[in-house]
Amino acid sequence: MQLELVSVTKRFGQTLANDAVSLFIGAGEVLALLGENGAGKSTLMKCLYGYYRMDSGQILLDGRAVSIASPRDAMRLGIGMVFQQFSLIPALTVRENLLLAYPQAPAWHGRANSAAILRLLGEFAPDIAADTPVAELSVGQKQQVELVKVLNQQARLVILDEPTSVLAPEEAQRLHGIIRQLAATGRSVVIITHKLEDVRACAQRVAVMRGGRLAAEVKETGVDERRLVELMVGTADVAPAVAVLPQSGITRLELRKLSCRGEALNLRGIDLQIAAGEILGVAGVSGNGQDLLADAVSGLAALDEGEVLLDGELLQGPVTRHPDDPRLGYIPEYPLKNAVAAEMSNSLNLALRGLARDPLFPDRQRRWSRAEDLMEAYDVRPRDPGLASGRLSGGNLQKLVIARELSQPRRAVVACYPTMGLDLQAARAVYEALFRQAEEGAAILWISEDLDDLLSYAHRIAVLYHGRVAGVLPAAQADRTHLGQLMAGGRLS
Amino acid sequence: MKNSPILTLLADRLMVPLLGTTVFIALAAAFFHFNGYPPGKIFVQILKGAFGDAFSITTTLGKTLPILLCALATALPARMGLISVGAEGQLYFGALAGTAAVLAHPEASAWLMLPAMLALALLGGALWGAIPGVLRAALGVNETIVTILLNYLAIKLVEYAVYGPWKDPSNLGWPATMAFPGTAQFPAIACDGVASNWALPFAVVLALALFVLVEKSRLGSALALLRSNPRVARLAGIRYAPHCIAVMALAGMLAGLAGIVQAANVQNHLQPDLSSGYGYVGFLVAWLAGQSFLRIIPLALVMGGLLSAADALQLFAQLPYANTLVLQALLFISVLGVGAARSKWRRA
Ligand SMILES: Nc1ncnc2c1ncn2[C@@H]1O[C@H](COP(=O)(O)OP(=O)(O)OP(=O)(O)O)[C@@H](O)[C@H]1O
Ligand SMILES: [Mg+2]
Repeated sequence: MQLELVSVTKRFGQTLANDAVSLFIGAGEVLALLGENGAGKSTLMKCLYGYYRMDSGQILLDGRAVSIASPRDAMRLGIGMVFQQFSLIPALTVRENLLLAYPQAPAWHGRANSAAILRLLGEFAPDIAADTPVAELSVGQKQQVELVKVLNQQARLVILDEPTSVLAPEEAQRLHGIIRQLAATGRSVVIITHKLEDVRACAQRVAVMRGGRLAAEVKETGVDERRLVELMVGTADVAPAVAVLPQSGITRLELRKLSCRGEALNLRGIDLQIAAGEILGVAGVSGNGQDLLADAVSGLAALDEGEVLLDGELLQGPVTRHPDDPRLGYIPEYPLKNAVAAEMSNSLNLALRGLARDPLFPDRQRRWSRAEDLMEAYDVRPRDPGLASGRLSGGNLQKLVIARELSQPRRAVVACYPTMGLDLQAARAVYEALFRQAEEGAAILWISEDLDDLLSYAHRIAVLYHGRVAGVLPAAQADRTHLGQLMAGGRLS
Repeated sequence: MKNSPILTLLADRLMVPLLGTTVFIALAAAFFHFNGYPPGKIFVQILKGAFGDAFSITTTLGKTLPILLCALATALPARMGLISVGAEGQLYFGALAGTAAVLAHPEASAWLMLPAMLALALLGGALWGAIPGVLRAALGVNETIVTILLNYLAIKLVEYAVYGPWKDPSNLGWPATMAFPGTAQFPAIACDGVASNWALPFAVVLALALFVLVEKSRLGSALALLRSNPRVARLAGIRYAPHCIAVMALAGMLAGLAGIVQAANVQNHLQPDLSSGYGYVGFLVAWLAGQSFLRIIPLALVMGGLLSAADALQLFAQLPYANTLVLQALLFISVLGVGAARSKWRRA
């Protein structure tokens, strides 16, 4: 299937999200769609998928103009999309989830028709057992099920919106393999991404968007990576300055025998100490308790035992918790779900941490202008304090949360994948804001799956395995193999 | 956007109500036409029955008050995402509690009687509202179901009281308490033959105060935050449980006030048919108004007018009462339908 977007324009109020974008996607081709945050990548693909209706422009399928008014239309034409937020039902098994989404699902299902439903699962994700409940799958596996769900609807073009931003390196590699396999079977793939590894691993052609327009189109083979970065964000210089560890060594944030029950697994007996100015990286394959650890330290999850101390003072314990303590900054994963009220304005979401302490009738003017300043400083676009935060692009939403949590001096910061979904320049800005907090004496608990970044920027690295700390290493003495062993459940030799 | 921004904004604000009303009138006209009534004549009758003379305005205002209060009692919890259908029960229980004060000391002076009756009614309503609030906050029990069940319970309790211990023997079998003494009535206001009492302007002021509080204050933001994302509200230091209980209790007070006014000033007894479904009509009004405390006020008046016209039509034009229910349903469908169509059109 050949697909062509002709002069697609989409406006949201004053924002011109797509400005006459024309794009060609060949049969069996993998196209990487790059571009800075808010460039219009997701919008363009959502127009193609019928989630948004474009204002003007055309979609040509094998040279014929088609009209796509809804995702159902797109599906009928063989266009499928996998979003970052999965739509699987955790309590059901893989088989049941696939069955629910299967076109013309039979009212009665047994072994016979189950085979048809599971054929593509066997082809693309043979290591997932059909009778596992989805809740027990890793993020990467959930994504594969989601992908098979789309393929089951006879998709010939699959759109993936930042699929690797939530994946550990091994899982990303697995996905790259699947994408190449899709292309080999004649399907086309569009992958929206900020990561050059994705481009390197599977793309044949690259399209770069900037400010709603198509800025460049290049054949991947032989393109210089510095050039690609430059095309994406306008500069090739994206490495942040490293934070130096101060010598004082006083313990600022302390986790003592922290135990806590989660949905999938429990944290047991976590002991960690972070000095003032220290960045403690937490590595681990996702699903080993990272999100629970972050929630426990920030006071959102109830502790069964143990305590979190800040400067020797009780911050979180089994009896009292203080998620709103202004000394603590918290950047959770999935900001749309965990960090903002999506229907409420940017201005309010930025003022949120102090809300309970505001006067009864807060000064809205001041709140507004403070929001304008923060959005300017952290480059949140569009710079509209009145816009509902859920309307921001993925990366800009992340920047909004960073602005709220890191613009004030904190004593401790818990940061989960803080650069998730950010373009390279924005990621650099976030690292710099984080390191600035450290330099001013905050203790940083930084959860990440990017071992290279952890090794370059963290002072020490703890590895989380099955809800326990498998080991803590100074970053200088750690290397990938070493960490890899710990992450897989091995012991320090 | 070529028009001036003010015009656009105005058109934006007025479009749903105007279009909704038009659709409603068209649907209602069709309904009457196909049932063999001349729509034009009926519409005139309805207007006359609602606002035609001092008597009909008095009736309309009498019905507007409980509808208004019950709508507020629905809209307030809805602001934090709670769907309460409990105004009817809170109205009954508030009246029951307030009546207890009257029966305990019927001879008390107005200075003691009124505050005691009012306080007990508010407390009773608050209790009936707080029960689903506590169950929701502590155990996650669905508040909609609990409020519906508590409606039945409150009505049954009132029936038990007025058929049993509180029945006034001099009523000769008619199930009701003794008549409330003059000291247990809210002061009346009258103007050009139109009669009402001070609870009505008080309720309007309450609606306006709630409007200001919810639209402009920190509390409004807190409720909106709890509705949108309770987890994130924790980061702001806003806890679900106390807000849930307080909001439900406050809503109960509003409906409880409606109940005691109904018993004391309108019916002058506590009796089983205390409310003609005002709790449910209030629920409709709150959702018609999109939970806006400002829009609730005129809509409550319209609904009060419709109900009092229905009484008149039933008496004089022999139009069955069921027609009012149909009219209510048509109004609901028109306004919500137009609103939904508009937001869909906007999203695309
Ligand atoms: N529903 C919406 N309402 C209003 N504005 C929107 C909406 N969706 C997107 N926008 C705006 O359109 C622009 C493009 O957004 P889009 O989500 O396509 O960016 P993106 O390239 O996917 O960015 P990111 O890398 O951050 O995900 C942004 O300025 C965004 O704020
Ligand atoms: Mg996007």
